[in-house]
Amino acid sequence: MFDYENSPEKELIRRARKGDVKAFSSLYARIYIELYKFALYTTKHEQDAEDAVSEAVITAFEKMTQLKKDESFRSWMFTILCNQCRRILRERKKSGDPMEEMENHTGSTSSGSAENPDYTSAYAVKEAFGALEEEERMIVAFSVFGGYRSEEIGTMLEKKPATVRSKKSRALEKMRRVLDV
Amino acid sequence: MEDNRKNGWEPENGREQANAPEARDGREQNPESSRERETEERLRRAAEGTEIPEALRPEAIEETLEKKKREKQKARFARGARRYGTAAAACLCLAVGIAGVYFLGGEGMSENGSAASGTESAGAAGMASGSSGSAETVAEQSVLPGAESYDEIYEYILGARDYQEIMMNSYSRGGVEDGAIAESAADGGSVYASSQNSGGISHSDTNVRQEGVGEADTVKTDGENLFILTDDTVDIVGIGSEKMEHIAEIQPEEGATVTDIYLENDRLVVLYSKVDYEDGKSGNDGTYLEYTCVDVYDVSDPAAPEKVGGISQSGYYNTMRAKDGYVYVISNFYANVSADREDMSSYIPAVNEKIISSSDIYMPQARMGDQYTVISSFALDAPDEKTDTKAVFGTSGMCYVSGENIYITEALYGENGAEVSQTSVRKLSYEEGKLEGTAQTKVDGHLKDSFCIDEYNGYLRIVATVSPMYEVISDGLLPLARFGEAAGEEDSQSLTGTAEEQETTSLYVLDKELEITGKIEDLAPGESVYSARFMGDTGYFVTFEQVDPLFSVDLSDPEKPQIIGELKIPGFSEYLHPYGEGLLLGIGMDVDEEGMTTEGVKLSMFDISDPSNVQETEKYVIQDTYGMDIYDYRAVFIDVEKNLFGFTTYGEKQKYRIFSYTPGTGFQEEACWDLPTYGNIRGLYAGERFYLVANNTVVSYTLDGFDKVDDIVF
Repeated sequence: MFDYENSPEKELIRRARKGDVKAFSSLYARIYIELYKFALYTTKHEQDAEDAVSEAVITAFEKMTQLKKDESFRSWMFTILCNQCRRILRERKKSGDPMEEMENHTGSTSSGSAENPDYTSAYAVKEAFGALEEEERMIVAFSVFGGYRSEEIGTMLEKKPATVRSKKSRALEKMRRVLDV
Repeated sequence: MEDNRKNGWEPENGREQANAPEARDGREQNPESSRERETEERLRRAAEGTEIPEALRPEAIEETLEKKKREKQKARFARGARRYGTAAAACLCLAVGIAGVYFLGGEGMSENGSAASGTESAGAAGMASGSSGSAETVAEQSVLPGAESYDEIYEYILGARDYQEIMMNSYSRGGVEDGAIAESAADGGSVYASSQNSGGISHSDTNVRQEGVGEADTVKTDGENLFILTDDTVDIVGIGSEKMEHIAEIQPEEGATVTDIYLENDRLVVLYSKVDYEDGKSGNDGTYLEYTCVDVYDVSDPAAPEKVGGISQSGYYNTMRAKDGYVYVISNFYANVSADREDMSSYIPAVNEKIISSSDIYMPQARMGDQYTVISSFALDAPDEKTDTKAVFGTSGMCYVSGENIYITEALYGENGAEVSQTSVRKLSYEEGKLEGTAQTKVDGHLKDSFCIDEYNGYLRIVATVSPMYEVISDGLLPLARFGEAAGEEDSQSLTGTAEEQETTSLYVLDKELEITGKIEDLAPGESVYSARFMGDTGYFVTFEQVDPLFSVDLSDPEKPQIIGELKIPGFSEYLHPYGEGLLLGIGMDVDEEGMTTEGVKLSMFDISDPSNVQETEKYVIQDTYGMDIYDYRAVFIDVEKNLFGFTTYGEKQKYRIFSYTPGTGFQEEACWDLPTYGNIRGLYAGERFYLVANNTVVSYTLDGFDKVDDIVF
């Protein structure tokens, strides 16, 4: 029996490229918590985050052959997920969904709509992300949940590393103020 | 650490090269205040309790994907025949471009695949932009037409914009966003990834794809100095004596990301990318434009490099080549498809800040385009002005450069409604800096790397893995079934089953006009190409699923390529290199008999003196390794005359190993060193010493015995 859990990433990628679902899910299992957190704090909405991740997964599985041999599965998934989140946010704006505005009020307590009561431990984080603009949220989420450096974030968002760095700086400062309240 | 010292590898205060995300705290430590890091840590901790929805747990995801797979097997539907190289295919691929697959998906459902062909092509043609008559598109298939005007180019940009909007709308909550996903992901990997003899002291040179065509790399030597790309500077280390000496540092302009360097006859070419912010005349909030820049230095006095010229051009750096004193710089430019007509710099590439003339832009194969491959040339002894520039609109990807031609290839994964992976190939000739587009085509299958495409005696040989494609149609994943390969086997197979979902391997021989003269198809079902090497009239390639067939193919008759040998052994080679008379070296992975687990990096020596009866004469498995750095062939050191080759292996530790080969005795490990960092590792020799370069550290060894001589960190 092939040992999915302990196989090197490259071997799993090779299998996943051939449509091996188990290999793909083993790769996914290694990063899904980070992926979901990234989506959750970027879209600020649980259902949207869930949709974003599952759509990213389907896209990735289907386009697996496009992942280059020497490319990291993780960065690839994050890039696809980031595109999904952007799309969801764009649609939300287009459809005039009021959520974006509502949750943008810094420090506003939950107005009860999309909040899940079980969610208290992460509430402070959510509030802190609520203080940010869309792009700032992505940059911080990439850094905090993806562990990416400004250079790498710059590549994924097509921004200069220096721009990413200064935006991140500003965003973290805003968040610190929210967290310190 | 103990180990490192013993091996003479003393990184001391070596700057940490942070490639992996884990190294987050490495390079950014300085610019970032500790308060920022603390805030990030607080956020990370506080988010630890985040509850993950049931539906996203790996088991649930596995189930979802399995279900999709089953659905697509049930709900299979047929698509028309589309074969490369025929007029029908050309017409279809082009015409279907915009709307084809996305709108025909639903109504194109047909019980019988072969019947759908005609219908679909007619329907698709009707749906596309309308102006594309089939005669015109067929003509476009084989020649590279230049643009008539910027207006014409802008129409294609608008085509790409429409296409993106169509995709957005039809997929408002669907699946695939558009090709840009994969492209941007791919960029991330390649953009930041990444000689010549001058007489005097003998030295090794970059392992190049095509003999006689120079390539840039991260380390170069002239025998007396090492030129090393370190983060964003180029460092020059004198190696004239046993004691190495840091003698100069070149720092390109602020904000530059140096990607490669090239050295020829006292000229050092520094290639780097920079990003400019263009404020939004186009109505957006502004865009970032990426440039590839080239600075040329006179390094006749290596302690005082002097800048003597350079050029810049739009787009991300792709690669460069040098031949006969001319340098060819290749970059990929992505157009902003939402740009206004007047905002030309957003969608027309520029060289030396001047927009490329429309007559120097070759039009896309499809009727839209949003990317270019930009090629400029200049003479090394007159680097201040460009010799020529051409932009190839519509294609960007891996480039193969033969002694006479530049081939730009791009893998197409069902974008044009094709049901198998394809590769577009666009050809430009080059000579003394002059560039001219000569031909283009599209073949089925995608290329594993640049060794899968090779020119010899005017013929282009390609070995490709042909993969069935899937598209997300409404809710399910549906395969784009493959038809028309052989009229006999067709429908029953594709309706019932699995056979046509398998990958196969195809080999093509194309003439100067890129017309197929001969081909072999449907080789090695269920396997994909792992490596290839063409050597004159014979080609070798390895496919793999469980065992490793090393195929030999006789290409002496371009109309009748013939498989003449098939050696089956466990494992597979991922890199093949000619190793002197009648020998071919393979570097790959050993795999157990069932093809289930890899058992380490494997070296194979193949006796190819009789190509129809290839033998694996020696085999060596490197214990406790699971991979090696050979995906960038430049990272492999190989000198057949000195009988030495070296590369990086990954295991519990990252190591650099050097081997030799003796007939009868087999492979011998000559040296093995622990490597302390990630990043670009290169081994090379000059005179009697071997140099191991890892980012900002160099260790020298005797070439005879590999005893440590000196080290330097800068």
